[in-house]
Amino acid sequence: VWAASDEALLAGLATGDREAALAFVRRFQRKVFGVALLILGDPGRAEDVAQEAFTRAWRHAVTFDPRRGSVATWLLTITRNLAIDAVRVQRARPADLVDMLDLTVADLRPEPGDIASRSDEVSRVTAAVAELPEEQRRAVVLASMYGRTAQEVSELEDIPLGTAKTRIRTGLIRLREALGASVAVDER
Amino acid sequence: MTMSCADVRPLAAELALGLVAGPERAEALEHLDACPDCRGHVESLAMVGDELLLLTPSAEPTDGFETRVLAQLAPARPARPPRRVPRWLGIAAAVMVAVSLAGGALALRSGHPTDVAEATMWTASGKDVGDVYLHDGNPSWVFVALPGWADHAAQQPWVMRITLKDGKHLTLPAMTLDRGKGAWGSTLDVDVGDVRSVALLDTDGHVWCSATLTA
Repeated sequence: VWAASDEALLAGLATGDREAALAFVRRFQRKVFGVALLILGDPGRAEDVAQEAFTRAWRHAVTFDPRRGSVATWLLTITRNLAIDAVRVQRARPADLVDMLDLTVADLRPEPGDIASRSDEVSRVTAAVAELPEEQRRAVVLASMYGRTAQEVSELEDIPLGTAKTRIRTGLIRLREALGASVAVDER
Repeated sequence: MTMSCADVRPLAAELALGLVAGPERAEALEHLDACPDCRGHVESLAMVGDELLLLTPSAEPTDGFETRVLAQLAPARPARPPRRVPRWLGIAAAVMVAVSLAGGALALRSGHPTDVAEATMWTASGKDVGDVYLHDGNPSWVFVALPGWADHAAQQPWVMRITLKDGKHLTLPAMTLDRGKGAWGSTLDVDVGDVRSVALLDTDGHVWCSATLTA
C-alpha cells in the first residue's frame, strides 16, 4: 500500500481502508500542514486546519476529478480554503511575513523526497513562476500561497490597490499561458 | 445587484484563489452561474492557483498528528476500558529512578505513586501497544510499558520524544526494546502538566507509537 499511487490511496481512504488512510495521511501530512502554516502562521491552528483537511478529503473523496488536477493539488486546495476561512474568523498573521516571503520566493524548487517532486509537475510550475517579473511573482505568491487579499498585498507591498489587483491577475494569466491551460479567455 | 462581465473580470484572480468573501462573492458567483465565458476564465485561473500550492514548503506537524487524524476518521473505534495503574509500576519506577540518578543517592519516598497520569500508546494504524505513565513529583518521571509491541520493533534503538504544550521537544536517550516487550523510563526536568504528547521514534525519526495527554 505504501507504493500505491495517490489516486489509489485516495480510493482506499474513501472506502475506509485503514492502511490506505494511514499511507495517505503519512504521504501528504507535511505538505498539508505546510500550506496551512504558511497562511495562518500559527502551528496550533494550522494543525487543526490540516486535520480538518484530511477529514474533508475523506468525506468528499468521491468528488475528486482527475481531469481538474492531481490528488495533491485537490487536497492542498481544500487545505488552503479551510485556512483562509480560519483567517477570516480570526485574523492573526505572522509578523515576519516579509522575511518568509523572501525565503519562499527565493526557494521555489522541489523538495528532495517530497510528494510533489515525484512528478515533473513541480518543476514545470517552478519554471513558470521563475519567468514572472519580480513584482508579479511576489504578488502571486502572496495571494496564492499566503492567502493574502489584493488589499493586503497592496498594504504589504506599499502599492495602490489597483496595482496589486493587476499584478495578481496578470501574473496568474501569464502562468496559465506558460502552463498551457486550455480555456480561452479575455486577457484584459 | 447583479454583476456584469465588466464587474467580474477584475475580480477573477481573487475569485479563483478563494479570496473574495461576503456579498461580493455571492454576486460574483451568481454571475458565473449564468456566464460560461467568465466561469471558464475563473476556473482556468483557479487551476493555476491550485498548482502553485505544490510549491509551498512542507512543515512537520507535531508528534501523533497522523494518529489524531486517523482517530477522527474512525470515531467509532471501540474505547478500551480504563486500566488501573499496575501495582508493579511504583516499584519499577522507583528502581528506575534510583538507578538513573547519579550514584543512586536518591530513592522515591514511596514505591506506590499516587499522582500518575496515564495515556494509551497508539501506533499510527490505530493499534493499542501499551501505556505511558507520568508521575508529577520530585523528581517527576516518565515510564513506558509496551507489552503489545511488535517483534519487528526490537532490532533497533529507539528514542522517546516528549512534546510540551509550548511546542518544544525533549529527546530522551536511546532505548532498546527486547523482542517486543519493552519497559523504559527516565526522570523528567519539566512539570508533567506541561507535557502534551509522548512518542517513540525510530532512528529515521518516524513515529511508531504515541500518546497524547489530556487535561
